[in-house]
Amino acid sequence: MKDETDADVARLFAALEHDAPPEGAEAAILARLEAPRPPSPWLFRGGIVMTAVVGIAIATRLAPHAPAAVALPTPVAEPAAPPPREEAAPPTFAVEDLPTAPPPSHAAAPVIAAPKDSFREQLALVESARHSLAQGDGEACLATLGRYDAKYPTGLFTTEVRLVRIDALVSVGQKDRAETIARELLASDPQGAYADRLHSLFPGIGP
Amino acid sequence: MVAAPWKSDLEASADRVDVRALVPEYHAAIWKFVRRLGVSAALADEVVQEVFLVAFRRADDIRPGSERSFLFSTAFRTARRLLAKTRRETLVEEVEEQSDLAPNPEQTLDQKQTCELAYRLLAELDDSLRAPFVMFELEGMSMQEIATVMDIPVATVGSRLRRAREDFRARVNRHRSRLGGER
Repeated sequence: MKDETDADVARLFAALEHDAPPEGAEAAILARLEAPRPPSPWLFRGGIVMTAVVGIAIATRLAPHAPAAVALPTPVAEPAAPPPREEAAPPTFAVEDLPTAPPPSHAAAPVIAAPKDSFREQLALVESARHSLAQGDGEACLATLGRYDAKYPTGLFTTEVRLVRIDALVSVGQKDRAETIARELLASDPQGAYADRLHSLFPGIGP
Repeated sequence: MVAAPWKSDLEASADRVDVRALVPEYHAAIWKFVRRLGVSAALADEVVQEVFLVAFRRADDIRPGSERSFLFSTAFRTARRLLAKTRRETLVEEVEEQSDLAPNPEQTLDQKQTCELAYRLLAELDDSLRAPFVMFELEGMSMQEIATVMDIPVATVGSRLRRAREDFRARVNRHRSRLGGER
């Protein structure tokens, strides 16, 4: 009996080994990694939350044969015991069935497949602005951020730009303006990765 | 000078490990892994895409040599969230009842049917047992690796593995007995 079970288990495992992803799935992933995605207010080192549903939904509509997009929830507790078995239904999965992270209040229009050059240029502008700020030149930083906003009003780094702008405004003595931007960011995402630092910069800013 | 602590993952991605190079190497393995954890074929592609997107965003957190561990850990958490949200039973493709484990050794197996049966039997395991069972028996992970991925003690991995093996073998036996009784 044991030998028979061992053989059956081995056959089952061997069968699983022959299952493989559909053709084109790997290429689809590479294509997604190539195409920049909409900005996320939670896109920070050590604090990742999945991109807003809108961008994913748009990407899904661009790939009509792909299954419904998955908007994955923020980390949750261990799953509870599975519910009672029901009649198997065709697997369906709607994005709206899952909790989503709250969208940013500024509601930037989603960016759809910006070219590589655009991504590099946007990155260069933000890096240049940050470099100016690190060198103590808040005015130059603000000027560069202004160029970014003018050219990429719905760019990939709009949230990062706002955060760097807060630092730059503080550095040039415009703390009131900085606090206004901070309030807007916190209003859109009170629990975001940058929330703690904003609260430390502007005590009592709430929420 | 003013500190600029806001450097985002997206900005740093230009200088990071090229996650795209990991796709050809690990895509099939991650896909199989999430399928074995209970994610349906219809959703596996999206889950795997999210795994690599997470890796892309967090590439600077991936230590050289730990790419596999990172991807499998991410895949485990991603699949677990999905399965917690959806009913596991509705993700299991229907399997014809005559799926056979070839009680007749000379009978040729239908590979696809056997594969579907394997998924069904795995899906019948409790989530907490299926995951370590899949990781150890099918993915070849060590108990320490499984403990790290699941964030549970090694001893817990051991006990769940034992229970999972017993449960899985019992289900295999019941399936064979059921088929044998119908003949």
